[in-house]
Formats: sequence, C-alpha cells, structure tokens
Amino acid sequence: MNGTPPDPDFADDVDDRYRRASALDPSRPSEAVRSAVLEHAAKLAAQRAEKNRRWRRPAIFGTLAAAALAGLLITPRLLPPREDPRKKASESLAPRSPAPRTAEAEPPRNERERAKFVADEMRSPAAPATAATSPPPSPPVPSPSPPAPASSPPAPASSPPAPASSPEPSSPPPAGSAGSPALRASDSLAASLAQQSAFTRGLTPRAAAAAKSRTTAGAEAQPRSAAGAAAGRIDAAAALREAAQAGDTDTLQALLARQSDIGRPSDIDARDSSGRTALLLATLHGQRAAVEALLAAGADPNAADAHGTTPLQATIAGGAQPEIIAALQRAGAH
Amino acid sequence: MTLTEASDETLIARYCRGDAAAFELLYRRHEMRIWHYLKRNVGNPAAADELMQEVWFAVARDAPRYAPTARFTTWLFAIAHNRMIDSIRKNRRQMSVESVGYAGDSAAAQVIADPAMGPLAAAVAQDQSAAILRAVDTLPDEQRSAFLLQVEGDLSVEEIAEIMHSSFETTKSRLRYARAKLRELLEEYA
Repeated sequence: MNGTPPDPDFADDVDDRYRRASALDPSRPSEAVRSAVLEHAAKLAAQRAEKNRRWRRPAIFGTLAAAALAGLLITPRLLPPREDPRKKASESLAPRSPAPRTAEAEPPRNERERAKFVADEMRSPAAPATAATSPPPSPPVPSPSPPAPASSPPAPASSPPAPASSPEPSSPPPAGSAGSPALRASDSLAASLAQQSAFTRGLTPRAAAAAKSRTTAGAEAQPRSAAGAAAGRIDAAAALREAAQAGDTDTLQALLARQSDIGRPSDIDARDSSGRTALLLATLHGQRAAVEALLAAGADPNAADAHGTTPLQATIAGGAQPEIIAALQRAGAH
Repeated sequence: MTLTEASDETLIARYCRGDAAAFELLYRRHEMRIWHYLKRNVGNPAAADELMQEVWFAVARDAPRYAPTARFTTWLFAIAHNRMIDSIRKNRRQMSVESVGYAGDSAAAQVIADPAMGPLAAAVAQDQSAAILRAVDTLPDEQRSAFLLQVEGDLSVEEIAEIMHSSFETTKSRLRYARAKLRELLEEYA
C-alpha cells in the first residue's frame, strides 16, 4: 500500500464481487426475530389507528368551530362599513362643518331663514293636511286597527271590515289609507319636531329629511318614549323663541297653532339657557307682532329671565315701543 | 399506486397512520440489507439477531419522528449503525480478535454457490465469495462500516459521513482505503 487512496471509481469490481458474495450468503435473521418485529409493529399500528380515530372527530369539530368563529370575527371587517344613520345625523348636526355644501344643501344662515324654513315645512301638503284632519289628541300608542266591538258602527268603506267576533286586530290598512288618526297625528308631530330640531341645530335639508323619516319610523315602530317627547318639546320651544326673536309671525303662528291642535302642554313660556321666554325675546328685539301673537296665545307677560328682567323692562330697554308696552299692560304686565 | 409500488417514505407515513401492512412491506424490503450490515460488522449471527430486533423495534417506535427531509434508507441505516456501535462498545471486553476472525471464517464458509452452475464453476464462485467476505471481515471497523453502508445501503458519501459523524473527506478516504485493502486481500487469496 503506497498511502495514496485509490480512486473509488475504479473499485466497482470490488463492490460487484461483494454483492455477488453477499447474495450467496444463506444466513438470515431468525424467524423469531421477524415474528417479534412484525408483531410489535402491528401492535403499535393498532394503537396509532385507535388514537387517530379518537382524535379525528374532535379535531374535525374543533376545526369547524374555529373556522366558524374566525368567519364571525373576520367577515364583518371585510364587509363595507354600514353607515350608522344616527352617526350620519350627528355628523350633519355638527356646527360650522368645514365640508363644502351645495346650494341645495345650504342651511339657513340666520334666524329668519331658519324660521322661514320651518314655516315652509309646515305648509307642505302632508303636514297641514294631517294636522287639519287630526282628531282630538289621543295617546301616541300605535294601534293599527283596534278591534271593533260588536255594537260599534260599521267601519268606513275605505278600511277593511273587521270581523265582529274576532278579538284580533284586522289586517293592516291598504295603501292609500293613512291608518288611525291618532297614529297619523303622532307621526306628523314627530316629523315636524325632528325638522324643527334639525334647523335649530343647523341641520341641512337632507339631514332633516333623514331625521324626519327616522322619527316617523320610530313612531310607527313603537310608542314614542317620554324622553323623546321631552326632547321634541325642547326643540319646539327653541324654534318658538327663534321665531319670536326674529319677528317671523308666520312661523310663530304655525308653531302656536300646532301646539294648540295637538293639545300638548304649551311651550310658550319655555326658557332658554338664560331664562328668557319667547315673549321676553320678542320684546327685547321690538317684535310687536310677535309680542301680540304670543300674548294672544297666553304667554306669561311677567315671565322674567335669570336676571329678573321682565318683558316690560326688556321693552323699555329695547326702545320702548308704546304699542308693545300697551299690549303687555293689557295682558297684565307690571 | 399499490402498496408494493409505494416508496419507502410513503410506507412509513402509512404505518404512522396505523397501517401495519406498510411496515411489513418495509421490513421485507430492507430485511436482508440490514441483516448483512449488522452481521458483517459484529461477526456473530446471534448478536446480529439481537441487534436486528432492536433496530426494527426502534423503527416501529420512532416512525412518527421520521422527518421526510432525509431518505428512509439513510434514517434506517443510521439507526442500525448507532445500535451496532453501542453493541460493540458494550461487548468489546467479551469479543476477542480471534473470535471475530473465527466468526468471519465461519460466515465465509457458509457461502453456497448457485445451483445452476457446474461443479467447477460453483466451487470457484464459492471460493471467491468466501474470500471477499473474509476480506471484508478483516477491514478496520470504520472502513468496514463505511464500505458496507455504501454497498448494502446504496448510500452516498455524504449520507455515510452524516451517519458516521465524520467529514466528507474522511469518509471518502475510508472508502478508498477499504477498497484498496479488499483488492489487495483478494489478490492474495487468488
């Protein structure tokens, strides 16, 4: 051996000779070894198969449950965001919004324009007609068609006849029928209040329409809550004060008539944050017609503000129009 | 694809899922290669039997740990090599050079010729087979293991180096020396 390793490529003859010799070797592992190995392997295989069966069903259920949970959590994020109408309305209500406004969406710039808008809304075909045909006030509980007693007179031809023996409400009125008068009045009031509220906050006409529809829908779905009614009164009182201050007698009369029609407690003496009533604001700004209208509607002629200023004192401070002073005195101001 | 056509890697995967027939097929495919490797290294059929059982028990037990990144044959011969090394170390005191030599002689003496050969050809083949088996028995342990891993396991130099925990060059040298030694011995026998 010269110390230099031979090239294995030239050693194939050795490998072949070994392989031939190995193939002729009759020695084999004992049959006992083979049996023991195969028996042991079969036992382990059976254990693994059982383990697989035991875990397969929970694994499938677990996978399905995880997939369902992931779908519930992820799918809403993948869907386009739904615009919350309340959020949209609140965004529209934000004062001095920097967003550009179209001519159509331009809100009234001053008190007079706002009051005029309210008056226009009131003159719209739906609202006055509803108000004119509204029955005497009734609780704003939606009642599609109360069961007609057996002794009641027959229902009008336009409404479906209710079976006398059936205590259940009849089917909803067909298209064109406006439902019960109480519901119509309630809806109309809710819509008007929403509209007025929108204007007192600088709401655009489009947002006002959305608020109106929302308010009407709410009235249809369920009785208006006491809190909602209180909010409506506050908004109506604010509109009343603004109309009085601006001297917009049309709006003022419409608001006073509306309150009178529905028979609600009058907001005529409602106060603003400074304790001023609509009459005080009208006298302070010298709005004679508004003063007379308010006094005629029953406004308190002595309702002072938070500083104790009465309408009479406000009149003097605003220029002391004799007609206003006379009107106040006739109403009992001192 | 039938079970018999499946690769070793497919069979071990099926066995992991509980298919005992896949393991039996694997065993029959590699039984004699492992057996020859073990027996020629330890030189004792009884010890080889014991090792054979240990190796295949380990294969059955550790099958789920088999990573398909390596060939199944490499993994199988690695187990066999490690078991064999452990066994040699454990029994070194009991094994003498004479006993190993005797075992080699007896193994070579058991070689039988192909019955289809004529009497003279059969005698020559038997003699040549016994000669190379005796030559393999006389190789140093590392050279013999490397040579047997290549001819019985059809493993590459890289795979042998990995199994024997040696470098590529060292393994390559061991193979060259082993073949040179075998050639030399065969010339002497001739």
